[in-house]
Amino acid sequence: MSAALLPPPGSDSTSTLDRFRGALATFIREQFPFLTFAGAYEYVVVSQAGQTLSLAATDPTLGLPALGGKVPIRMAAGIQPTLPPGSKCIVQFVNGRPSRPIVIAADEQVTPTKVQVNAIAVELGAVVTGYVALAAKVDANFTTLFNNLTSWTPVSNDGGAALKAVLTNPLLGGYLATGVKQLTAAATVKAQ
Amino acid sequence: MTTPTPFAALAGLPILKADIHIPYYGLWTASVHLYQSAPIPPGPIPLTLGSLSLVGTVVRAASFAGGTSALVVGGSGGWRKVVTPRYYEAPSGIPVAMLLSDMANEAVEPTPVVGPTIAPVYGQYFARENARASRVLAQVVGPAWWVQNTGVVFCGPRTPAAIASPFVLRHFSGADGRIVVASEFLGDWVPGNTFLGPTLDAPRTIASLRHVLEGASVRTEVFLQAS
Repeated sequence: MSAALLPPPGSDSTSTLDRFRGALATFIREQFPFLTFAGAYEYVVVSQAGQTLSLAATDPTLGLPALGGKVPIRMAAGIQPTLPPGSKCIVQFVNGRPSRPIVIAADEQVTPTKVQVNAIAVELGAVVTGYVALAAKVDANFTTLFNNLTSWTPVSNDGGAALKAVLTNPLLGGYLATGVKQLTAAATVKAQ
Repeated sequence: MTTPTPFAALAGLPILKADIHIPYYGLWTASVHLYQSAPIPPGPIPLTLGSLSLVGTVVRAASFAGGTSALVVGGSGGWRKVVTPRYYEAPSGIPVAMLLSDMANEAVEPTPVVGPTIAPVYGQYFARENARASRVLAQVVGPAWWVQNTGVVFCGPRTPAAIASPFVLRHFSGADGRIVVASEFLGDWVPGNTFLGPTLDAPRTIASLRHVLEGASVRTEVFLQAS
């Protein structure tokens, strides 16, 4: 039930045209002081600090204030978006109390600046087959390999033994030696 | 020679008829008819009925046929005003006193007295809506608030007391849970108080009441709390 069903005092012309109707509406409103906070309301992002937002109301006729402080973002567990100013979001009040505003959703038509996912495991795709590779670790392996290949001094007629020694000797930074080659898998993200 | 103080008066103006309703929680109201057609002073004014003395404000009045009738509410008449939307936020919690003070200032009412049952600190946030001050007051302190005789709101339950002054029980409707009494000590008859008379089998508690002045008599109609 939204506040629109019981408009704020002064906004309902029937309250002044019909005294008894107005008195009844007032009486009902007074019996349910938290009714307004049972609704979901559209706000606009003014700024973001961490996982809190400063918000402006989109419909001033609803009688709700701008939430100009740090309203917590409480979307799905582990989802921490960064929303650009001007994007719309939905505010609800936990347990219908004005003391507990939270942002429960953002406009799907706005591309978040960033979405951080915090979870022990993140799986992308219907049937995951393994962890995704991390670019930094892949780059480090390629750099090591590149350095070994470019710093290698060829030895005539050794059948490639000098190259093999460079690539396998850990003391020489050997790329193929166990413990030198870096694992590239992410710790939490798997993909199909 | 001094003018005698009238038994019932609104801002010193003699009252012909009055019907004062005092609920358990919320604002008391009074429908008052004056003997004369006279302007009633604005702002908080005294309403007296025998030993009962209240402070209220006229919210509606008109003169007709040589008399004036008025609707009076407890306090300064501000709790029916609409306050502006406002947002509060404090990491350590918002002082209730601050919320009430801001609200009362905007409603032009004295700052309410906060009883010991109300937590002094509200939550970390408070979204004050554009609504009647009385509604927002209930959001902050709950439904347990009422207007003291001084016109200042008290936030918290009423403190019950046993009525020790004499009274005459004139009518008792068990079906309605309602009695009618006559008393010279009207100030003792307030919601929450208990009373016991020779014709009552057990103490009763006042839920709400009406003091009705008609002609030369005052009767107090008491609605009893459910037992």
